[in-house]
Amino acid sequence: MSTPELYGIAAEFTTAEAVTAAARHIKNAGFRRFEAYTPMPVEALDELIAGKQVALPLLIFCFGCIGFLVGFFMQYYLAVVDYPINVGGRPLNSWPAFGPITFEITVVFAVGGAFLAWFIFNRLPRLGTPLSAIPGFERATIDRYFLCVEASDPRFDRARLRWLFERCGAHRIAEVAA
Amino acid sequence: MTLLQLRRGALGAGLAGTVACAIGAIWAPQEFFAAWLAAYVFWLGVPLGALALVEVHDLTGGRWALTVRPGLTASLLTLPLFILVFIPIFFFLPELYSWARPDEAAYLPNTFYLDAPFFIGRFAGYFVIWLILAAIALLRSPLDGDGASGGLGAVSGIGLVLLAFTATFAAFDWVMSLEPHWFSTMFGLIVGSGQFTTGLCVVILVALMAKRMPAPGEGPPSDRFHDLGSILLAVLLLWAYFEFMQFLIIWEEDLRDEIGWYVKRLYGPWGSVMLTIVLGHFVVPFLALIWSPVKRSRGALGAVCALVLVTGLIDVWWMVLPEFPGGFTWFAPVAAMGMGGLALALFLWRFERGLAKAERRIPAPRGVRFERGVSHG
Repeated sequence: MSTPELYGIAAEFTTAEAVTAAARHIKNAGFRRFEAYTPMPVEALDELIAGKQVALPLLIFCFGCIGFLVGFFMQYYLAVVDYPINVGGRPLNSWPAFGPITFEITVVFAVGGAFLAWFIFNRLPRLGTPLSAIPGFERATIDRYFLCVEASDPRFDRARLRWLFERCGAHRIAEVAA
Repeated sequence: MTLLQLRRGALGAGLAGTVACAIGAIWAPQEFFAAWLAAYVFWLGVPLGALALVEVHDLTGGRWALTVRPGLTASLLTLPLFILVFIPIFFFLPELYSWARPDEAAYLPNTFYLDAPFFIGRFAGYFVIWLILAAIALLRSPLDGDGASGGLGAVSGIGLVLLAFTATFAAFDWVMSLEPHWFSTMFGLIVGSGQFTTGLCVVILVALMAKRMPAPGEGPPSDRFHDLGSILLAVLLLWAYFEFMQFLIIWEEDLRDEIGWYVKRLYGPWGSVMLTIVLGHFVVPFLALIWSPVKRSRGALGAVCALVLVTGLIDVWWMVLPEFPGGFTWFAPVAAMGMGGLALALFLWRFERGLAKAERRIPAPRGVRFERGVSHG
């Protein structure tokens, strides 16, 4: 049951192990739209909250391929079509000479694409999340671990989540306003 | 297939290949020595690559070394074999090198360097340095610890510099001097990075095949192989960079003394061999290894390593054999099998002993039996 004015239900944990265990329970219970807020990377959480991450390497690869084609055919167009010059009898399509620039532009596109995708996937630029309104949330950057199930999850159920979080040993549970 | 059977098979193949080569050499000495030299340059990558890996690990650290530790130790211990198998070449230098034939050497400006006693002296010098570095790496092995780096102290830094120089000059002496007029300062790094790749692939393959208990602190298998796959990707990129840069510079200059080396290798049958190398030693492994699941799967990573090893051998053939009128002969695969078999037999013998030692060191949990069998991955 989703309530319009609610963003989600957040729970605060004191250890990385506790938040990982809770995330595993939440996932096993069928919830999909949840996010963790931790002071440092917790590797096990990555795998539990994955899904979207698979797309990023693939996207970077596609950007790299586009960069490769752009880099190569830009030089091909300049040297063969737009302004052909005979350099010491070498062929106009001197592809070995295009190599370094093609490589550089491949890298620029891949890295630029990665940065852009990272920006968009993280919903930047934004100054905070609705969780910022919880008192003490700033400790997510110091020593506390937060887990928030969003109200847009199809299985969202306030009472059930509270019960789950409590069973997982949550230090504190808060409802987050949208 | 157990380790023992594999070792016997390797020893059998090694002896059979070596004997067949030795008999064939009576009729076609030059073809034999060309093939023997190519096999030598390829398989020397096993100990030299291991030496470079040990020293790189000593500088940078990483848990991956725990996974390949038994393989690295066994690889280092094959180094003396490579003194032995080079000795026949000393007695037949004129078969291989035109600078060792007095009538042809008369026109060369650099005979002070390309000179038989100096050549043998340099060979001795390289091996003294390599044996000392390998001995230090084995005796003060940082790999016995928990994967932390730093056990070799300053030796690893100095050792890597020495290794880069000696491997470069060894490649100049043994391969580049086949055509005494041709030179490329990058050539040593191309051969050296190729050897590094060979050594790395061998230890990864062995680690993938050997079923054994993980050492304490080693982490789950998929993570360990992921790291090794990433290192392989980096080394392949390095190799491709060197190889392409040499080609680019020589192709752009198009100078009479330099381009001839590539003309021999870019046209005719060797041209398609080169395409095979580009695809099998770079493009396919690159596309495979940038995909994370490949690095986490034993089978896929093993297949990539096997492909890189095979194309690495073809790459050495492509560098060495076009210099000879005979070109590619049956000697090439048989010599590679002979020398590789001998090296593998020695490697597996040390590997097995290393595993046995490691098992004694790690206390076995109750109810778990150590397996020393090797299955084909």
